[in-house]
Amino acid sequence: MDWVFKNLDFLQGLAITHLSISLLPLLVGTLLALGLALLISNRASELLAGFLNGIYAIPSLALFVALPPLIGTSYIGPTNVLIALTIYVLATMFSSVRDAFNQVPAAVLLIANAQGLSKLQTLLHVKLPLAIPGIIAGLRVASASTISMASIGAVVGVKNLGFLFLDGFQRKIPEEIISGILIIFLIAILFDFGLWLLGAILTPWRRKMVSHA
Amino acid sequence: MIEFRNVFKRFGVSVAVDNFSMIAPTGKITVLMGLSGSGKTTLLRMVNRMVEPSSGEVFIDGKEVADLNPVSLRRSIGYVMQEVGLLPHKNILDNVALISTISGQPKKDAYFNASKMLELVGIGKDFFLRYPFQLSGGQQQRVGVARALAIKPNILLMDEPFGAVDPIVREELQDELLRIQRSLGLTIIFITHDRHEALKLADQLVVLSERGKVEQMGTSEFLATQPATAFVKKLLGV
Repeated sequence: MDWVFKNLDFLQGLAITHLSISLLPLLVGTLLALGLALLISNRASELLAGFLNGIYAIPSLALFVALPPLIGTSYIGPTNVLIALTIYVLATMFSSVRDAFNQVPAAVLLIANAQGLSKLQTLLHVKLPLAIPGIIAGLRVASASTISMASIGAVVGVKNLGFLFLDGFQRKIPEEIISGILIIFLIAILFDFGLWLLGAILTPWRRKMVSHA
Repeated sequence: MIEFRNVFKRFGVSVAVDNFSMIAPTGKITVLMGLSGSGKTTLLRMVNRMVEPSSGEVFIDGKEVADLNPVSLRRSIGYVMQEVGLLPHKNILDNVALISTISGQPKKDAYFNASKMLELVGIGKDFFLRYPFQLSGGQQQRVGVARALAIKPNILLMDEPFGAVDPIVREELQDELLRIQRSLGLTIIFITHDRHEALKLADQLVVLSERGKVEQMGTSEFLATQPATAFVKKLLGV
């Protein structure tokens, strides 16, 4: 515990870096997934989903070091880590978003069309609200995996909570490693709770469904 | 008045409607009756341009629908179907008022009108703030009718609207539809494969065999007493 109190400021700095390097990819990746799921036809989206699953299988460290020569970023530093994490979020969220949209009942879409709702109105009033539960469920998984993968960025010089594992291992400080684990765990739980709350706020009708089921 | 003039419809290589012509008179209920594959739903959806004919024309009061903007056309025609399709995340009142508010009607007017329409179809105030899943099938269908009426249409398109409700409720809904239709002077095209429903509701009954072929057209009394073909006889059970 001594170690923790002595390094509180340091830990706080790492946690903030970790948060920002996780949040941005989650946001951008999800928006990209939404856009792609809306734009791409069903048949092509099947291919894209497979392709993205393949990308998700590439180990994050490999992607961190493979990206710079491909896109001309620096090997060291946050840019390629942010891009790689965004790609992973896109890879998981694309299928979640696509499935969430596909689960909107056909009759509801048919009547929206029959009543003269435009494409945009159908999206805003029908598709998006009904897809929220599926999107949030996907985001909860994506957020945990992003927070976890972000720590590997420490290997390529992004000083976030992952640094505690490298440093703690090299200098044999178990407190440092354990603090890293606990803080990451806490951040993941906080994110998860936040997403759950967001889902509950955005879907007030579901509370009634549960109480009536 | 809704007129179909020499309408054909092909989906890929299959022919769904093969030369169909008919006039649905203003202020009357025209019932299209036929088995599945008779093209009835395809024909119904040509009226509000959800389906475009491959050739031939559809007119509403002399105007060809192909010349009308599909969005404003659809917002002027009520559409009711068996699956209802209420938005599960909006309460009953919001469901009924949706199109009016989207079309820019002041909220107060839209909701006042929506509540009037719900009362017209026998849905009381207690239900207004409930969600669709809290209603029975028959109640949901009443809301479906109220939603279609909320845009103050002259025309109602009804695709087997009462096909999924139990026989007693179905009778009630038919009686109320007749009452509402008479009081508002609506022009209705109504699809069913239930002979009892067809004979009860139809001012004009159109019996279709395959691909929109008209077997016989006329008042329900006429078809029931003088069926033109063996098919009509069998379908109407006379």
